Amino acid sequence: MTRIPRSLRVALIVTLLMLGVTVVRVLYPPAPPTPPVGYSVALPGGPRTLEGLSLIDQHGQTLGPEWFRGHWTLVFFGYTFCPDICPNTLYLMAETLRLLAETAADIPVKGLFISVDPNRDTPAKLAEYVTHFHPDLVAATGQRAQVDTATKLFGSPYIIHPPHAGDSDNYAVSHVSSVYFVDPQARLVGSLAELKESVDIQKALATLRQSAPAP
Amino acid sequence: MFRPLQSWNFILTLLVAIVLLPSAAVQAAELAFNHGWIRAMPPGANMSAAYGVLINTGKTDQTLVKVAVEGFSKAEIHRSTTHQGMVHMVPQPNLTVPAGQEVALTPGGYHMMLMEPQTAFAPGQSRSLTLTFADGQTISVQVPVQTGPSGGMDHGTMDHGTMNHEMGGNHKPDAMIHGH
Repeated sequence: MTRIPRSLRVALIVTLLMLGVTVVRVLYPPAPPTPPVGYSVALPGGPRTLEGLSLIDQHGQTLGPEWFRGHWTLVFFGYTFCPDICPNTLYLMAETLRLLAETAADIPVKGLFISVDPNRDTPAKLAEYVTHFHPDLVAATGQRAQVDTATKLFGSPYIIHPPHAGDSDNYAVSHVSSVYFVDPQARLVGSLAELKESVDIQKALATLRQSAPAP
Repeated sequence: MFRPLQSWNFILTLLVAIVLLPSAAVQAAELAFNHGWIRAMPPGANMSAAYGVLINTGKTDQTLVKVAVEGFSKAEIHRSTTHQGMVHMVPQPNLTVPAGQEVALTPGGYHMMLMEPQTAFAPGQSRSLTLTFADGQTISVQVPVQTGPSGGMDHGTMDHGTMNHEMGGNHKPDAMIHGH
């Protein structure tokens, strides 16, 4: 028998190897990605009371923990001089409120925008701002100490950066982009980061309502 | 005496120029900005944002260096960036769209920050948006003002009876991030 030429031998070995790999992959396909278990939005450590919260709403009225009773609340921290994240999140919150009003009108849900920038965001400005997105949105702010209490209660830090030279009203603000969920017992029960669409808020709310711990 | 039409050099130069001219036009056609939109803002807002998808179908990287939007005094490229759990905007001196790729400007990511509106802007209107690239190319497109990304129509206040509903391709730019 004539010797198989070397090049043909190499080609045959490579082909057999590739065939082998294909057979293995067909018999033992890689596991499909695990489907998400559901939104893990519940606050680690359980629900937290909002005792000590004291803000002023867009009508100049005091807003404390009692305001949250009787309905679920979506809460977002931001400021009005914010062109991207804040209007986008408020838009998504408004969209969620509209959808829930149509599909789940028996479950009252409200939206609250807390400004961490009381220097520029007066109650009047806040009223004008939030009602653009939805007539029922509520906005609140307070003295610096009150804002700090609120952000500590929610675990939502922020930074007011130094102003740009020559313009004391021109400064950047860092804030957390999550939406927070407060239950009808006025307890903080969850938060949603990486918010992309309003359906994310709906799903998170549905998850939290299902696992809502007894008061 | 200078007799241009009798000079082969001149004719040759003219021919080369004629050949190169359309290829310059083709070069510009390799850059596009699609699905652009400007966010409608509450009254009294002194800024807004514009989003869309930059598409480079050419063979060389292109760098966006300047943006301008009709009706706003200033426009800059920014990127919302998360640091230590908090988000803030970082100005971007430029934005590169690699050859054959797209870069999406979407809420929460890259965006154009529009400042000092000179006129009121509301859904239903559009503004001219001009992008200037490092090699001097420009693109100008008409961009609609919307309340949100996907057409952003406030159905609650619309009179659907008088509308011609042609809603093709409800495109969500944030599903197309390819660039860096």
